[in-house]
Amino acid sequence: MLKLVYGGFLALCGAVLVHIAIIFLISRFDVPQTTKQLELLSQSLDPMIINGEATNSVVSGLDPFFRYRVCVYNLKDGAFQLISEGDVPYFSATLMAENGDVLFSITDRQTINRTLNIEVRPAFEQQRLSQAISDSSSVSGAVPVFVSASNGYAIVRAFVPDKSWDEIIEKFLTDIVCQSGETEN
Amino acid sequence: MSRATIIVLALIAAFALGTSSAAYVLANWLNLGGQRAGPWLRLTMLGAANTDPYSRAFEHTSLQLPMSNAEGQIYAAEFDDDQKPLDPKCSYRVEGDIPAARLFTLRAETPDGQLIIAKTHFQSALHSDQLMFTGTTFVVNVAAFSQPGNWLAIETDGPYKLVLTYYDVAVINDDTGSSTSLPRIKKGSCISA
Repeated sequence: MLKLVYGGFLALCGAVLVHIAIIFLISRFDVPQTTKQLELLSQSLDPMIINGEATNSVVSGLDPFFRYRVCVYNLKDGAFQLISEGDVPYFSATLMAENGDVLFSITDRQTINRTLNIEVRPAFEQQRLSQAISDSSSVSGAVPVFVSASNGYAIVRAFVPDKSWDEIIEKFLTDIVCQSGETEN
Repeated sequence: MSRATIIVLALIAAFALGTSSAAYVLANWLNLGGQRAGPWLRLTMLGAANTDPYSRAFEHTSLQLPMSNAEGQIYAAEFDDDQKPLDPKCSYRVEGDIPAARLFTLRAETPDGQLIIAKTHFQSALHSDQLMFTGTTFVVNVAAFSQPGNWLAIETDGPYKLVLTYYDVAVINDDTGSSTSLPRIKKGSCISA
């Protein structure tokens, strides 16, 4: 009897350890499923535009009234620019690190003239760039964003109120400039 | 039974229990760890950098595009106000105050997150610019059969959930993550099979 109690106690303690280990390993070392799917999509779609109405999308929980443009960014190639033009009812943008963390987000109401124009740089460049901007007393129109993750995804969501907006939203998303490379500053 | 046999059996049981409990928690994390307000469960918890290990592990297994609090808030309801599962044979009245958000959308999904699209020309998803409002409140009637006013037409035989998304919410209360009151879901009439 004592042996069984001992075995049960050992099993419970072990189960707790296994449970914690699994949660810890997934949360720390596993690549998020969303990142894996976006990586696959980026190889087949250019530009990567996802229709929220599509029922066969690899990404779930999309809003049918939205279209999504996803861009891959990699700061090893230099600063990443995200620029949009065009007048649409509503849009927002999110910068997502490869590990799934949201690094930055902005809605059209927070942009200048409802135009998306952000320049993403590594966090370590913040001090140097701030100094350069104050020395030259000139700033480019882009909103500087400093992030700790050197690669990830930019996601732009655009609202489609009805079918008559389909073409306009499609053009807005297609025309978004997503590019990496050094910019003047 | 020898001591070695007991240890081996205990280790096997530990592995099985630990693995299955982790799988169960991750599969049900929204219900176990999500924020509830009446029948609504808040879904926007993805992408926060300082989140707990369970939420982060859940994020890693989910397939949703992350959305920040500043962009919007997503809520899902599988139950009505009386905590009864939504029945496709019944109508429901979703009634609430106009939220302090730029716009909101309401749609029906299967429990695993697939959009339910009505085969007819009726609307199976609605957004705030399409709705008729009464003063500062709105009412959406959810049913498979025709309804007066704002009608969200659902076409499914099985269980479903309602997903409500507020975009560009004006004020965010960080304690609850919610800044706006959520609509009530009242059961109406039902049709027999």
